[in-house]
Amino acid sequence: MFLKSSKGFPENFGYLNARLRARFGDFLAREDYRRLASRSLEDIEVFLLDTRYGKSFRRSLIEQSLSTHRKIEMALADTSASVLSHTRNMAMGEPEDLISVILSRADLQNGRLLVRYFFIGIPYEMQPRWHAYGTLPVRFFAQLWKSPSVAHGIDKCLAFDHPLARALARALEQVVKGSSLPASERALLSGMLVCQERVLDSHRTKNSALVKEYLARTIDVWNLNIWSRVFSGVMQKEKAAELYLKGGFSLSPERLQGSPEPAGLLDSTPWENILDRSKGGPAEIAPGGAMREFWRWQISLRRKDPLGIEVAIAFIAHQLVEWRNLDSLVVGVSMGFEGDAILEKLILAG
Amino acid sequence: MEKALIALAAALAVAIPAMATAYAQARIGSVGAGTIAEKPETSGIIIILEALPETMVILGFVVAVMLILQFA
Repeated sequence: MFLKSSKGFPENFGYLNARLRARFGDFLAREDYRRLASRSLEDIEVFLLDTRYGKSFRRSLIEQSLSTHRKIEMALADTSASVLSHTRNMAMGEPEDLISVILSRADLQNGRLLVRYFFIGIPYEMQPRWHAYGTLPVRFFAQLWKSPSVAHGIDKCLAFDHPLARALARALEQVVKGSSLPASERALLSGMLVCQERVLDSHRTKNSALVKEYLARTIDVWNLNIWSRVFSGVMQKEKAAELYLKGGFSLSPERLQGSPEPAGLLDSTPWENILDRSKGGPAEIAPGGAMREFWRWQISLRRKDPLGIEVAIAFIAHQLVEWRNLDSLVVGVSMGFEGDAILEKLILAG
Repeated sequence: MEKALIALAAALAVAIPAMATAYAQARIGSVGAGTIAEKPETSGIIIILEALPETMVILGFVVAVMLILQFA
């Protein structure tokens, strides 16, 4: 029993989760968002200076000659990346591997930016704000951005010799072949999922099973987005059938192809909450609903097992949601939206 | 033969609680270290919590002594 427990690094789960649980108090509360939504951009600036975003924000005030909005964006991205990277640094053994799998969503986001950049094919000097908490270093993506052509980009990916970089190379190969953007992104997602599942296969525990569920739900979100394009008439059914991914949590490609209506597709699945039935007419999928529901599920894991990966999943989701919320808040306030309209766009957990 | 069995019983009375204590203290210790790293003001409580499983070994030791004194 002791040997088995040591292999699973339960002590590190205890240490890591104790530290993360203590940090849940740092997240902004619902009341903070409510207060900030009715204030000015300058008030948000003053508020952020007193929070954990203050350090990055002060640095951006000194170093950059950017607008307030852009400086806040930078502070949010920098602080979030440092919090998430620190979370992985505190873990060792199984927890470290599992957290790396969860945080490789940054590699997926960065990869998608690159695929879209090469797909459009118009050179652009200014680099996007990379997600700096993934497995692959940001400088790798920055170098790829500077590649003069897709072929050069593929060579750089293959030379980097990392499974995730090879997955990106395969996605860029789809761009070279003239595949559609969704098909290239599908290649990226499926390639990265294969790498992540290989990591999970080395840990056959209850925690790795939960991270597998996390990946399966990611597939569901992808499939739902494709399905909603068919539903809204943007994509043909036959085209969508080629883009669906197998291995989803509750939505198989067969079910997706055989369901013409949202209610039939989502009833009795974990996704049924995203059905918007408020208008009294036939149920529709709320825009961005699948991703919002996915975030809510992750945050809801917080108290499921104090000595499992659940706490880390919830913490990471909380951090990413706070980043997204503050970003939306800043955009809403700077565009002069009403407080209630801004709050509607936020994911308020807890 | 009888003395050997008594000695074995006394040894087990200490050894089994000692292993259980080690297991519990390992768990409490790692969680306690994480808690103190974030909130140093909790160190007093964590030391008490870390020491609590020791009572199992003390009780085991008392049982072992009673076994030896009564039967040996």
